[in-house]
Amino acid sequence: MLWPLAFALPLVTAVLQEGAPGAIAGRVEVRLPASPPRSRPAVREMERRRGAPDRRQSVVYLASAPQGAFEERPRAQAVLDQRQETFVPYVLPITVGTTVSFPNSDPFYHNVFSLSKTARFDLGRYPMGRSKSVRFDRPGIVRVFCEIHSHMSAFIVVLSHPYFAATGAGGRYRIESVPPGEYDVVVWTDGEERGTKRVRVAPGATAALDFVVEP
Amino acid sequence: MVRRIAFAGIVLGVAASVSSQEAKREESLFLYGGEVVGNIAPVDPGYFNHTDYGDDSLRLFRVNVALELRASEKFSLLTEIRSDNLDAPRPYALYARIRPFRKRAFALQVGRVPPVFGAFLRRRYEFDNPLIGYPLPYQYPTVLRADSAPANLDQLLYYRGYGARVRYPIGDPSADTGLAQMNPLRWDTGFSLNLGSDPLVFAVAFTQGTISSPRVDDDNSGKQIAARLGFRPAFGWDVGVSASRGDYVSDEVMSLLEGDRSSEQTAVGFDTELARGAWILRGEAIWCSWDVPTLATGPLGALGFLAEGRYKVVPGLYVAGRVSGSRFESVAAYEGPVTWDAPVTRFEGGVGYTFHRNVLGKLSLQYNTRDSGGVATRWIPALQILIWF
Repeated sequence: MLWPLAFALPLVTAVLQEGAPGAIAGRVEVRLPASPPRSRPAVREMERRRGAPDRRQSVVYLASAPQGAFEERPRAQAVLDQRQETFVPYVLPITVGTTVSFPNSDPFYHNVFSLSKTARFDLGRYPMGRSKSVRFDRPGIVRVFCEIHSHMSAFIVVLSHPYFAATGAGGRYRIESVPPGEYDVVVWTDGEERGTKRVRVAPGATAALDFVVEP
Repeated sequence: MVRRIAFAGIVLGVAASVSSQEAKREESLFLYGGEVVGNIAPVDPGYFNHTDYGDDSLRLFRVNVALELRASEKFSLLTEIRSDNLDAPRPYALYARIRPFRKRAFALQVGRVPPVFGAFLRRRYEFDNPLIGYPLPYQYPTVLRADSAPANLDQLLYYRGYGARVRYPIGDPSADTGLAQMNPLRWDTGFSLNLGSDPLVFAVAFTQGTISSPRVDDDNSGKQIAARLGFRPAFGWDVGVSASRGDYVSDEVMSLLEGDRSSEQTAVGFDTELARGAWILRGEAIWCSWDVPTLATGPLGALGFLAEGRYKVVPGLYVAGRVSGSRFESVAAYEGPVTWDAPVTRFEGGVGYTFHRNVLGKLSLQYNTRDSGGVATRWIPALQILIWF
């Protein structure tokens, strides 16, 4: 269980730190059963047409960070959109100190909230075209919901270092600017750490690392 | 009767046809959800929270399960099954929904369908109810019944303020609960059409019973038509107007009476909701009139109203308040004009706290007041734990 280390206060891995930074890239193949969007029956009212969250989207990150990972960085911004009664993206990895905007792109109200220990907030109801934001100052997992549409949910993964990437099309990912060294790399999918692999990053090179996520 | 069967056959035939075509193309989906609710409150000797199932809505253990079999985008079977106080489970919703047009907001619903009148009943009962009690127009029993009738005005006025236990000589002679203006727990049987999308929606339903007395079987050969037109003047502000008319008195009563007598319930309603940020404000008014076939008073009218608000103080914690009441028309009694039932008002305030996303706790305090003898006022505290899934 190495993933909490990425959320902890600075933990420095004893690594080789000489030479140009490299990268870690690969593919995450998710073989979890395709779960349909968890939705309650719309017995009293008809539901609108909805988008489908991509629950196979994963986050790949270093379990512990190299020296220099916790130096002061410019405050980052990120966006978690609300579109067709779906949070987009389903998983949003950020670093501590990032401010996340929650625009409403639907022609009806949404009400974003979280009761997570990492960040507890409730943005209230606001209309299409409006956006509210929250700054995340503690590392951890933040589960985000909409109070009005109970089927809407998303994850914000708040990491204490910048060595992570979310998977894109086909499960591809790439973690840039990794100092040379040996690392434990974690893959996180749909609310859980799914596996850890060790990899050596050579100066200026890209280390290949694939994952298979199975039930 | 033959016409009715033929109509049902056509509807179900269309449904089956749509279903079979769509099921080939699209994967079917089974959805479920529900609520488990436990309410604790002291005994209410004034029966202010009595429902027509004979339960006190503040002293209740409820399990409510909703199921949907979505055969395709165009055809679903839906039901809600409820058990109160560990009674045998009862389906109070059971219907087929047909949405023939992929891109148009149009649905035909057949079976025991959701009410189209008003706004309160289409909310998830406990989850979307910021308090524990129901608004009075949706719960409080009047002195009228569908299956029995008073022989004269004195018999009606005898029970004034005691709708929880009414007994009349014409029809079913047993004591039972009177009709609420709008029944909160049972849904009516027939079909409804829903069309339109924001900012304008319209729904119309043809059903066996009335908003006071929804039914599965038809006990009087009369049908109700009910409709609601909803409009969104601005973001976060919804208004709706509703109307309904139908026969509510059973044939058991009507067969004992001579001549052509009316037995209709007529209702018009207005509802509105304003929401912004941490606030939700709601208001609703329902005017009902009932023809009592044994009385020469003319229709008996009643005005029900509710106004409620909810404010989120901090994440997970809200405060809420509601005032609701029912007012009744006057009739000419021997001693002078008197309302045919006792005016009743309820003030309810409370807090709700979300312990976990799926676990909500509520604490409320009611003050009920009624213009009648016996228990005229009552303070009632209540506690609710709600788990939803």
